Amino acid sequence: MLAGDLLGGTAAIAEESDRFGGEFPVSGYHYMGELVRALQDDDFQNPGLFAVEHGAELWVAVEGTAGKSCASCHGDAAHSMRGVAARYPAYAPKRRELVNLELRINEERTGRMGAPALPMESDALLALAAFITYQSRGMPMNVDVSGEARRFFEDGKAFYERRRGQLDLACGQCHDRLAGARLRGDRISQGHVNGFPFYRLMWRSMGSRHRMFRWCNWAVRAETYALGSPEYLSLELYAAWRGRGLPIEAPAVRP
Amino acid sequence: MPSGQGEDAGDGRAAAGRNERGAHRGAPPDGGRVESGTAMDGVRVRIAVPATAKRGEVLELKTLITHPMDNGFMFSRDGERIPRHIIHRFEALYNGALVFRADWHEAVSTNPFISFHTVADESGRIEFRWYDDDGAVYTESADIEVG
Repeated sequence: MLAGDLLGGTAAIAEESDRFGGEFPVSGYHYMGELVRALQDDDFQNPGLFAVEHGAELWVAVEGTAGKSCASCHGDAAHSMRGVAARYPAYAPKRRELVNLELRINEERTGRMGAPALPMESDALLALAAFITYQSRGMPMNVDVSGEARRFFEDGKAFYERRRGQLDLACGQCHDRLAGARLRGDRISQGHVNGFPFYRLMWRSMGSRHRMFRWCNWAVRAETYALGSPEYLSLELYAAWRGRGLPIEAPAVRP
Repeated sequence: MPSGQGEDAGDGRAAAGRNERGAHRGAPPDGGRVESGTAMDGVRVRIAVPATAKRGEVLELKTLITHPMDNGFMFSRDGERIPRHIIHRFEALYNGALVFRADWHEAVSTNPFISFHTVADESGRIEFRWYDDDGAVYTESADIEVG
């Protein structure tokens, strides 16, 4: 990122929020340099759109013993999936636990299509998740943290606030109190999840929220949890609530 | 932090499926990719060619292709060198005649994007070709109506 790159433009919005200690949420988009923002804004150049395209193909691909595709039941995703991703993760009464979008996709595949579950973080699962989330682009994140979901929300909040790892850092120490500050060459964002699945330039690939959590935990030299683990599902719920109202940007581009 | 981002920045993809957990202290920086197959599964191409143009008009043509563009200088977390694997040549043909060519080298980044200009001479087809180190040639074309 170029020095001075962040001055002016939408960075001003982020600064405004930082002055209030992140009281009102601001997307990570506004913390990025002009060049990365331009990459995200241009659907031709945004590499995440390739995943969306791939997902659109998978949406209509017949798989499994039931001889169905996603579209066999859900039809046109532009209509049927609009707003869906904004509500995840959500409490699943049958399972008595949280599911996020990726787990939900796999549940549908194994349960209704008779198709194998896609491995977490596989290109195919990320592509489907990106395609489905893309249908909610611009819609506000709006997860339900009431009722049964409440205890998961509390778990997620506790996870977020707990210091961990050799660096002894809690998520909020950076993302609440130091958003806007520099961590070496990077600018610390508020750590919202409205851009996922996103394309991370550092990884040269798409990534899920859980992969990012793992990366963050690793970066403070803490224990990491499995993709799809209860710890990360609760954290995901809390993170989505924390950024409630932020428009879905998927597929975002981040450095 | 020592090599904090560096280790991950090294190559998220190369780390895929290997050392998922615990091979090193402090692993896994990449967040645990499991499946990715070879990089060349499903190369995707995107092109932008105007459908119509006036004769003599200068056209901007844009292309993007998904490719890891491994430069041959990176190491996987197993310590193995990731061999060079890039697209080394790009061509654009206008009704079969070469109008633009570029030799690409190791420094060209992942998912190469290129835009360039040509003059709209006649109606016909504009074809793009990408030459991969592994011998593959990816092609994509679009028709243009020049009035």
